[in-house]
Amino acid sequence: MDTLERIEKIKRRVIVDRYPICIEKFRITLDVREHSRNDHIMIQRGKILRACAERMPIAIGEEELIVGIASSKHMGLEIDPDYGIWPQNEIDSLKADGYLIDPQDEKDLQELNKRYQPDTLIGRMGDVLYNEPRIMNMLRAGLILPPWKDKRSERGVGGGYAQSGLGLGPSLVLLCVEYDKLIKNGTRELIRQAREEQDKIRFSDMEALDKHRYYDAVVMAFEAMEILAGRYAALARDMAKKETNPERRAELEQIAETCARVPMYPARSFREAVQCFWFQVLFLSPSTTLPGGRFDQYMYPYYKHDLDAGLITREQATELLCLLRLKDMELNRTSGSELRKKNSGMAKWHNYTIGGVDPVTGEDATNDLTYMLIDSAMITKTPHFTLTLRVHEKTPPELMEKSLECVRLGLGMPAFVSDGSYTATFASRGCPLEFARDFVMTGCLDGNLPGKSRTGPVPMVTFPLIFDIFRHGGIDVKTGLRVGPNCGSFADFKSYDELFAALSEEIKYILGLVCEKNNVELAITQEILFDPLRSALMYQGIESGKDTWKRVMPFENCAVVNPIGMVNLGDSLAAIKKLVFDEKKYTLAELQAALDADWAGYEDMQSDFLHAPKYGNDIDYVDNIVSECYKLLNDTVAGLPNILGRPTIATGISITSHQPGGQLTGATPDGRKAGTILADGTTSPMHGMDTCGPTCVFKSAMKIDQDPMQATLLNMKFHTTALKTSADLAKLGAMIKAYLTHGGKQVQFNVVDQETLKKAQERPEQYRDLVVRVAGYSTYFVTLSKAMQDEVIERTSMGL
Amino acid sequence: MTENYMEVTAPIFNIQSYSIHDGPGIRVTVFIKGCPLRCLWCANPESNLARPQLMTYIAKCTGCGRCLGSCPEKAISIGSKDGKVAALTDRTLCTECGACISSCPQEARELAGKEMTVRQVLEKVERDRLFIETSGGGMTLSGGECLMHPEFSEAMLHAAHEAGFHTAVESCSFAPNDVVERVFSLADLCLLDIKHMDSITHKKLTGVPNELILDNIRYTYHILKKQVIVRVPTIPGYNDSEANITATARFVAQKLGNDVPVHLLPYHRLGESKNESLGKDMDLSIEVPSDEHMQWLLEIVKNFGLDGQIGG
Repeated sequence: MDTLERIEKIKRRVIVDRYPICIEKFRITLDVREHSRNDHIMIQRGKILRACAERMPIAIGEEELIVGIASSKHMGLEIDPDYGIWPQNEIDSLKADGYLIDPQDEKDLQELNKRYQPDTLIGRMGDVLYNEPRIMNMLRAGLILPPWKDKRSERGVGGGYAQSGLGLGPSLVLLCVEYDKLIKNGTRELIRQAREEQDKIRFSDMEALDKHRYYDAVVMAFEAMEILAGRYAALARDMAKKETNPERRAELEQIAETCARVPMYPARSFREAVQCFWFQVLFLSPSTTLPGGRFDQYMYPYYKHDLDAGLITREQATELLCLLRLKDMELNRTSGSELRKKNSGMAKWHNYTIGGVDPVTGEDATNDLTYMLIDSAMITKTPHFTLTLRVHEKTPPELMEKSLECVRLGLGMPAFVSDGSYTATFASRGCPLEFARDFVMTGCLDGNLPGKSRTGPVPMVTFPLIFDIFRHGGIDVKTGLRVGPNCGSFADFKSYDELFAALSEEIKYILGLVCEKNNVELAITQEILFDPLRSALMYQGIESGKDTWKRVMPFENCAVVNPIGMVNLGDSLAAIKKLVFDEKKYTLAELQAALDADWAGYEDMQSDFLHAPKYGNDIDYVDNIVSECYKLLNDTVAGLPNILGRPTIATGISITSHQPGGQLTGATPDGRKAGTILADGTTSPMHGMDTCGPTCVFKSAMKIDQDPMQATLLNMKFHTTALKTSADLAKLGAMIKAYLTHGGKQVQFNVVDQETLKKAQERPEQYRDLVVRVAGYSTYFVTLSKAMQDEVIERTSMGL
Repeated sequence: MTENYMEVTAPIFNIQSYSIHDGPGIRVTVFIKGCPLRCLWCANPESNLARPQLMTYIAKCTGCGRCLGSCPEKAISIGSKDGKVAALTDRTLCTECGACISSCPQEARELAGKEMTVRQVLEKVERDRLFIETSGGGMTLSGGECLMHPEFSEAMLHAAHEAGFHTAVESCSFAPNDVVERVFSLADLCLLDIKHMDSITHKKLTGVPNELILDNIRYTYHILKKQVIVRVPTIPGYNDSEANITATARFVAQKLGNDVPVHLLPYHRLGESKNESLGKDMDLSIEVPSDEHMQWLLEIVKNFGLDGQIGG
């Protein structure tokens, strides 16, 4: 079959308006739990994986070459049993949001809910934290998004998750496994290694028993993969027998042969390697994030081998990549209604990292697959999986240009990240350089080392809200709760330095609470969200004999802190410094009154504060303050250890939290009204505030020390007019490279005209496949909330 | 050149960073006010006069009325424009003093043009050094017309060279020959407009004949030995006929050389909304040329063996 025809046909199946909610895995899980009540949790989870592999429906779609479905219905989302039940109000909210649920399934779910007392992460956290007003007040004020509400039946923050995939959580992780371990070795070999390690155990210490169970569970997980692959091999054989079209029969026979080979044995070809990769993805799902790692690096030997041996052409390999992209469209997730607001637009962090340097030599590592992954995105034009290009001094200009051609299509990818800055992050704390140079994107733009580091809690902390609390003596005015100490009467500060020092105290106190909450979350993850497969596929995962959350990894960043609206805080402080302390045009008392009145009756004053210097215009006065704020964050969290005894690290993505974060925050001295949206990302200017073009934005961002952070995020939206010719692309490429080799960490682009977006807002049905870039992911514009759509439209557009 | 060349001033109305269509690489383009031509379609009408001019933006105006009291001439009143309630400025009373600007919370009023020294302009260019250097870019003098301010342009180009920047000028070449020599000899690249090959039509469209312009372009290429790019702002109904583009290409091929590229710059409407902002009602009703038409004109240029492109 013609490649494009095959891809178009499959694409039609995977771009849908409405996603069904499935309950098959929920049913299987509860059934296994009922029959294995006396098993240790590790063994129980091994058994659940096996049962899913045995009992979940399977199917091979027409035209497919890479096989394996992730839920019981096409494009379906399985209710995740470990993240709470879906009470009726949440089911109703899902239906209202356009999800489909079979009436019988709904009835069954209600019955299952009655029998099921979920033991969830959030539930166990609630058990502790609802009795800790010190931390709970902070959570209820919404300092970590979304705000916690009063204790309810589902215990804590509402709603669970529904997501496709055959594996088990913990799903809230930023983690990339060593995919090549299984591709190179096969499950048979890894099972052998696990048994060998198990045999070495002597029951002489406290850890021995857990280790012994760990290996049993790891073996069950690998066996589950073999079971599923075996079912697909059999199905393909059956279908081949019945197939009348000889061409398709041959394809089905090849599918059967491939699934009989991998993941059980080492992959021998590119095709087997891709299929083995996909089986891993199925069992690592559900996961809020599912990075592909350095796909162009670890897959290249297989492609090169086949190409040299004349077994595959570049076009055939590109087709397989396209098919993999379309497979990825089948993996979806949704969450409870509160969290849906935070992650607008079917957020899905399947991020594949391309380009960059060789970890050992430090030389450019670009290869054919790097280009072919971009080609496949340009062919399928689907938003998932996302691509991120690692840029360094020697990144070929042709690769920059090719990437920008893809950006120009409007797919919002790849994002561009700095090899140097990310490597600097990971090369700190004693992690070897050759490990650090292998960094990949997990989640939006959070760096991690494949197999060698991972991140659990990513609390979204709204900094302008801390400022709000600070100027009210530690009280959150919405809830009336005391959240932090009274660091001084706002109206009485005599100098900018005095004010900043007092604010720093408030910030440090609240970050302390945030990290305590992280630690509670991590400890409970260790208790109940054991994950044998992920753990085994980590670096020395079999040798270690431990779940990954109990190990200290080569780079330890198990919990992070993510600031929201830091630029608004910096802009606010700059306005105060200028208008109150330098020019003495207003007093802090007047400012307090104006902010509490949401500027009503103070319009002239608001205008002055709006016109104070703003970040994003290459003005040292304000840029240095923003930079100071980030330094305060980085220095503070570095002094706050996680439960593994290592310093916490800051990261800087906002996803869409700058909207709900802004909603909770009163008026701010940057001239912003109460409840309105905050600046997105970490290094993006407040929208509409950057007025002197992209080089000024970059210059402002370069003043922030971005190296200590696990990620930063800078959104730019370019008009198509700025990207017409290949000379335009080359110039933009040069600018990006200059930024990313001189202190910048990341930048990404939306290329659309505002008219198109406005039309899409009016007539969403006609713009179903319009892709925009929101944060670290691209998504369909029409799936965004109205507020987010407005924000995308408003973001400064840099047409020339 | 004066010894004190860093302190020479000119009225500057914009310093545009990330300019990608005014010469090689990423450039900072410096727009100087004042122009000897009055092209009917002018894209930068705020650059016509050498003195500062008031610009008002109706789209940004909320009609709040805070500017009313700020005007010493009482030239501002609240009225209706295109169905929108907004602060309107009576241009017969307005002296363009700029008193109203700071009163507007929406930044809907602005004074285009500000005297700046070479030093001040260079500081702005300097800020983008990283991007200029890594992309092989530089500084471009545009306008208005740099030849209207020879002392400043000469000083500015010299100062940019001293700082190690590649320099370009965008010019209409309408000036005495000695002025052209003084300024262009300091530029690495000259982007020179030819608006019409027929002098009478040229005068109709721009207010001046074209003989001096064509002489200066030849002089720049042959005597000053400068790298020249000829640019034709392509205005439908005015200069986009087959005959005119053919004549232009013939001039370049025969009177200059085959190493002179021709850039056809399609008309855009930015000038129209700027005219409105300057309080001038103009209805040119010029259509933006179609891609097909531009391609066709480009073919004509290429048929002369010239390197050509659409856009700068």
